[in-house]
Amino acid sequence: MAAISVKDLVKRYGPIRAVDGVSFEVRPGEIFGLLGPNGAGKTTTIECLEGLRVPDGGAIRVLGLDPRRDRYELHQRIGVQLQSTALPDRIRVGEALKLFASLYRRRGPWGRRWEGLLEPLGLADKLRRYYHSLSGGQKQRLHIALALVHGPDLVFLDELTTGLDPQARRAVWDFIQTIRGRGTTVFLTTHYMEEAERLCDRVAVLDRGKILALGSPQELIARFGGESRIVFRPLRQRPPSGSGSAPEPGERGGAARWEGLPYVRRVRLEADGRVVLYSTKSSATLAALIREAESRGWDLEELHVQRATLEDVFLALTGRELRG
Amino acid sequence: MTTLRGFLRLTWVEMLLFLREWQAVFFSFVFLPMLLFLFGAIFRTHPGVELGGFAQGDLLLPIPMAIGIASNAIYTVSGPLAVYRERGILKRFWATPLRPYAVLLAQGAVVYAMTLLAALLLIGIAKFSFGLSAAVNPWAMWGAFTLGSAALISLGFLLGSLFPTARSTYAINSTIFFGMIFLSGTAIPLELLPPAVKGVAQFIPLTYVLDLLKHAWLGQGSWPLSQDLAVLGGLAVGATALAAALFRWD
Repeated sequence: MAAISVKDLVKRYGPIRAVDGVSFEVRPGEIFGLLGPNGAGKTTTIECLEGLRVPDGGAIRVLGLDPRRDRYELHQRIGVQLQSTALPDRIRVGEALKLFASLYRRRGPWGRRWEGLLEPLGLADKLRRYYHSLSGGQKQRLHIALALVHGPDLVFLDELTTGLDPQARRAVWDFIQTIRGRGTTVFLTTHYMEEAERLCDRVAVLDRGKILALGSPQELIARFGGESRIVFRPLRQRPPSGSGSAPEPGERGGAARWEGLPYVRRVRLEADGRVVLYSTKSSATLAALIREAESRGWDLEELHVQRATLEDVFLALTGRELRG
Repeated sequence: MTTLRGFLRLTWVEMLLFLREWQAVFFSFVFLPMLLFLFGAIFRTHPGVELGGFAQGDLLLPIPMAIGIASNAIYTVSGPLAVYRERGILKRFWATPLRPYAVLLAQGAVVYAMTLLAALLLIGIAKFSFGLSAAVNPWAMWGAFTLGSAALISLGFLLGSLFPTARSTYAINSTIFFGMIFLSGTAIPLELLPPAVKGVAQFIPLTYVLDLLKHAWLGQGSWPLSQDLAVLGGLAVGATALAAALFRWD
């Protein structure tokens, strides 16, 4: 049986269809990600699954339960981290953990002390701290801990690493992998393509309330990512004859200069002066680029090749960038 | 279903949170005794007041007690509920097996317990500072205090469920609190106010709380005891039921 099954889910806010006919299944024990930009309908979808919003159409089963009708039974078995939430200012971390642990029938796997839960989240020495004295990132990690106090069968994480620094983000990813290793199914939303790529077994790309693609990150990249990116910052090595000026970093000759290179599909000029070439065959493009640069006296600073990412998948599917 | 363990833990946490808010603690345990002395000073100098066989403490006591019940019930029940809702704290509770009545009852239980402590403190201070001579049945007094608290705490539940923001809730709270203490004859005895106010007073719940406390402490009130009981009992049940029905987590 699927851990989650969603069929033709629709949620409207006035005339806007925030979720517009979404269907997918989540297998037990997998990490499933809903990837999309802000406003794509991720939070609306996850809150329908959690039983916190009433869908306007479609069928949802979560752990075999109807999130509306069987809400209290469902809430015994799931853990939830909400995107925008808080705790009372003057509750201590330890008190919050005990409170949330007491709300569930089942005793969590963490015992009377919380090291196993707090250590990986970097909160082990914060038990006596008031909620309001925690940093944004610490609050975020506490809310992740609270979603896991009772050892849920399924945990919902809405933008779990928003506001975390890169190091804490990686630690949280590792911990989520550990949780999954213990048999908890993980459903998360994210707008970080790196998070989806690193953490998720399968990803559904959501945009404007519709799922555009669904599969493992590798499948999606192979299917939709297509092009690699060649990135460099062109610098004029020899000044043009007749002028004694130094190299001008801003001068890069416009997109047209690079579009003629073999296998280049698209050229993007970054605001910081870098040029990005989207190539279907990076080795051939690279060879031609280097020849071209040598003959014209350009230096290619910071030259490197990036393989396609989910970012590119999103771009290919929507014509827009995931961020911004 | 909310577990009993969960309800007790939530009540315990709410009590810690109450005690960590110095404003509520100050009001209950410092300001109310100050009010007792203030009313003592006012009535001592007022020539129109006769003691009628009671000690001065007997006549003073129901006033700060009723104000304490009203203030705690209105501000410290609905205020936190509104803040919890606005900040998404209730929404987080929503995603657990907690049910609305457990959240309301935990809040109500803490406010009741703290107000009861404040009332006991007032009785002690009144006895030592002003003297008490009324023959009071402690159980009747406890019953009157409890019914009065239950009625106004229910009103607090309702106020905490009705308004969308904490700011609007606080504004409404103040309007209702000050309206109640002045129009019910609590801050100023009804005998000193124009007759029209007494007409209004019969629609103010605090009127009956004060009157019921007087019945229990002094054995006499301005309204029939049965009317006090009916109004406050009806309010306690009706407002709680309405609050639970209107309760919103977000």
